[in-house]
Parts: sequence; structure tokens; C-alpha cells
Amino acid sequence: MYTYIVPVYVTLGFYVKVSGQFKRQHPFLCYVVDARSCKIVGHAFSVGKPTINLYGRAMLGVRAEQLTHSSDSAHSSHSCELLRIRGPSFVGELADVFCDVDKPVMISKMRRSRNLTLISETMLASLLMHHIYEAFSDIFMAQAATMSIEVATLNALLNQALSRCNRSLDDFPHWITLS
Amino acid sequence: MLKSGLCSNAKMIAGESLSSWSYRLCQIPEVQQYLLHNAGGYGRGPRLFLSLFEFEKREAHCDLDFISPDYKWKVLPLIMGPDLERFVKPVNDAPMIPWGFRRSYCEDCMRENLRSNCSLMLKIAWRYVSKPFCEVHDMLLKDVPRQIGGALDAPRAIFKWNHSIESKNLGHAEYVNNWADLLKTACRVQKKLVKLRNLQHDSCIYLFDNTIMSLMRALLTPGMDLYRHSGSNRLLDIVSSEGETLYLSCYLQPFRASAACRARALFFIGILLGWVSQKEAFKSLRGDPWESDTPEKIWGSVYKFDKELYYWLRNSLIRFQTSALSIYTS
Repeated sequence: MYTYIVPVYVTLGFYVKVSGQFKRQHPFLCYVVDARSCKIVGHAFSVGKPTINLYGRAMLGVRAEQLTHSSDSAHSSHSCELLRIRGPSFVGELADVFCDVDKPVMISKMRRSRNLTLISETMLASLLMHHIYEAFSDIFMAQAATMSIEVATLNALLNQALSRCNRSLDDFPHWITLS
Repeated sequence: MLKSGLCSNAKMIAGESLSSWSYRLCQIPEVQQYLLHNAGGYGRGPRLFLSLFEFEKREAHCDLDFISPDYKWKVLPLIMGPDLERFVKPVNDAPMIPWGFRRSYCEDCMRENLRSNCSLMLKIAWRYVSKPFCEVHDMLLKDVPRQIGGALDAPRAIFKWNHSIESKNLGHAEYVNNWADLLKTACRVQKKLVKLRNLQHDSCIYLFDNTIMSLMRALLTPGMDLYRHSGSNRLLDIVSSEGETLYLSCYLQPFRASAACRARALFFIGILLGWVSQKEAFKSLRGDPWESDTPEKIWGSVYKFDKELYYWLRNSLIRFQTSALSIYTS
């Protein structure tokens, strides 16, 4: 059961190919991190400006996973309820997206009690960016023709980056913990 | 296993890459006959006879110089036997240029191999990012255009290109002569790095590689003063795509840069690590007072180019710091 969940928002500098009026959009990511174990427990992304609450979507995935993996349904629903109560509350439902920059931007808009802060968001975002761009360079170099990627590829990339990031946090947890 | 060992051409040469060896194997009539006889059973087409790996080229993101431990294609072990197990990629391998970008070669190694084995081959060591020099001859590797390095019979295409007029026009020999001192120092740095890396424990290798890669990413960023140098316009870099962002360039450039540029980055890494003295650096940079021959000037150059990049590099170096590499930061 997670006791304290921290979201980290990231806007990436490259484009994602989508159909429609705006064919090329920046991806906007929301990672949810368990501050106690320093692990990334889920993520959600939107291509362009998000029209839904990404944090809610990411948490939905986490809760669904909890429900799936727990054999005792009563216990799992109880833990989900705790999660909802003790989770951070947002200032705004929709986060702002800054797409007019050519560099990744880390955004964190949330209100929470400061004494519960256990991790350095800047270092975590920096580590995430490292793994995302490292994974992206692997995929990009196979295509090597354009800096736009497909949505499905982006999803695979994010999963790959997430697993790499969690693995490196297993080995080096001090990277993002506040001393 | 097919007895292809009877033919001298079929023997694997030490350090040879899997794609190179498999292509050589396919030139042997016995192997071709074997494939012709057995290909139908595995549902593969007649295209197999050109290369063992040709069908795999259709799959994206594959590295044809390595096999995954869970490979399902049954023809490879039957032809190559237990030697195939050597090509499983090690876990803690040094950063490697992707298969699609491979294009560095040592002319002397190829020529020697042609004399001794009557065949051309590509070595796997030429694909390491931090090894722009041939470990046998201590010579700077040459580069070919990307489409030639990606040819099915790449060793032959590269050797043919090496003797073409386009290759002579690049002025590789002139560049090596002009920057002889710098390249000699960079070669020394490469040897020291390789030696130091071999001494590291498995858990430290990850930090070691990431420290070197972070420095290379910053030093090889296009547009930086450290990257531009006399003769660099003749070197073959793979060009960046339109609208590429700075961070993307940072992560891709070490894999796209020519061997000469990677050697130059190694030289500056040597200065930052304190392995190259100021006097030696000044001499290697041909006495140019505007060049960065001290760690302070190198950091200043990065900071002047882009503050964000400087702080990103600083964060990365703090994160991946290891006792094996002490970087001059003040």
C-alpha cells in the first residue's frame, strides 16, 4: 500500500505524430511516484495539451493494478480508499503545458504538506529525463529520419524508461532522496 | 552442425562481428546448399541465400552483431555451432554505436585480414563509442558514409569506398598529420580509460560509463567551440534532423559523430580528468591561445555555450560520480 504519492510532470521536447488538425504535438507526461520507496508506480501521458486530469488517469492505473494483484477484494478496496484520502490534492485539475520551448520542462503544480516531502523532485525529473532520452535515442537511431515518433512507440518508450529508472533507483536510491 | 570448418574462409576471426562472419559463411557453397535444402522447413524464402540475417533486417531496432539469448531461429546454431554463444551481448558492455550507424573501420586491419584470410571483415571493437582508435595499430579509425556502412556486404563496400576518389577528398591523412600530437594524446587517454574500466567492479561500471558518456554528450554538442575545429568540415558526421532539440542532439551526437570528433572529445576528457598536463595540451592544440587547454577553459566554454546544458552536465556528473574518475570541477 502506498502512503504518499507524488506526481511529476514533464513536457518533452520532441514531437509525436497524431492525426487531425494538429498533426505534431509535444507529449505531456505525468508520473506518479511512491515517496517512501522512491519507485515510479504509474504514468499517464497526453499528446499535446491534456484535456483530462492526467494524475487521475495515472492513479486509476495504479488502483486497477492494486485491485488485480490483490486476492482479498475487501482489503484492496480499503487500501484504495486510504490512497484517495491521503493522496495529494491539486491546485488545478489541468496542468499548463509549455510547448513553445525547445527543451524539456519539469512542472509540478500541487499543494501538499512540506514535512512529508521525502524526495528531490528536481533530481527525480532529471533522472527521468535521462532515461527517457536514452531510451528515445535507441528508438530514434533505428529510424534516424525524423524526430517525430508514433504514439505506440512513445508508449513503449515510456514503459522502457520507467523500468530502467526503477532499476537504477533500486541500485542507487540516494540519487533522489533528500539528505 | 554443418562442417563448414573445413573451409579456411569459414573460421571466425578473433574480434569479428557476427554480421560480418555470417555474411562470409553464406558465400561458401556448402552453406548455401545447406540453406537451400533446409530453408523450406523453416518457412523462409530464397532470400536467405544472400545473408543469414537478411530477413531480420525487416524487424526494427535489431542489432545484427549480437543474438538475444532467446533467439528462435534454428538455422544459426546449426551452421555456426557453439561459437554462436559468444555473440550474446554482455550485460555491462560499453556504450556501442547502433548497428545502423556503424561505419568506422581500420584500413590496416582490413588489409592484413585480406592478406592472411583472403576475406574482408568488420571488427566489433570499431563500434564502441569510447574507442575511436584501433587497438591493434593505434591509428584513428576512418569513417564511411552511412549508406555504405549499412550495406549487406559492408566489409566489401567499405573497402571499395576506401579506394575511391570521394574517400581521398575527405583528407583523412592530412587531418591525421595536422593533429598528430592531439591524436596521440587522445589514444593514450583511450588506453587508460579501457584499462581503468576493466579494473572496475560490475556495480561501478554503470557509473563509469555514464560519466564518460555525459562528458562526451556535452563536448560533442554541435555548435560548441570545442566541437568546431580546423578540418572538422571535412569529417563525416551524420547530420542531425530538422528541428532537433538540444537535449536530443546531446544524446544522439556521440553515436553520430565521426571517429575524429570522438577522439577530440577524449582528448578534452583527458584534460578534465587531469591525465593531460597543460603544457602537453597546449602543444597538442598547436599552440593556439584561443583553444581550451585547461579544465577551467573547458567548463567556461560549456557554460558560455548554454547554461542549461552546463547545469544538466553538472547534475549528471554528481549523480554518476565514482571514485575511479575524479573530475576537475572548480
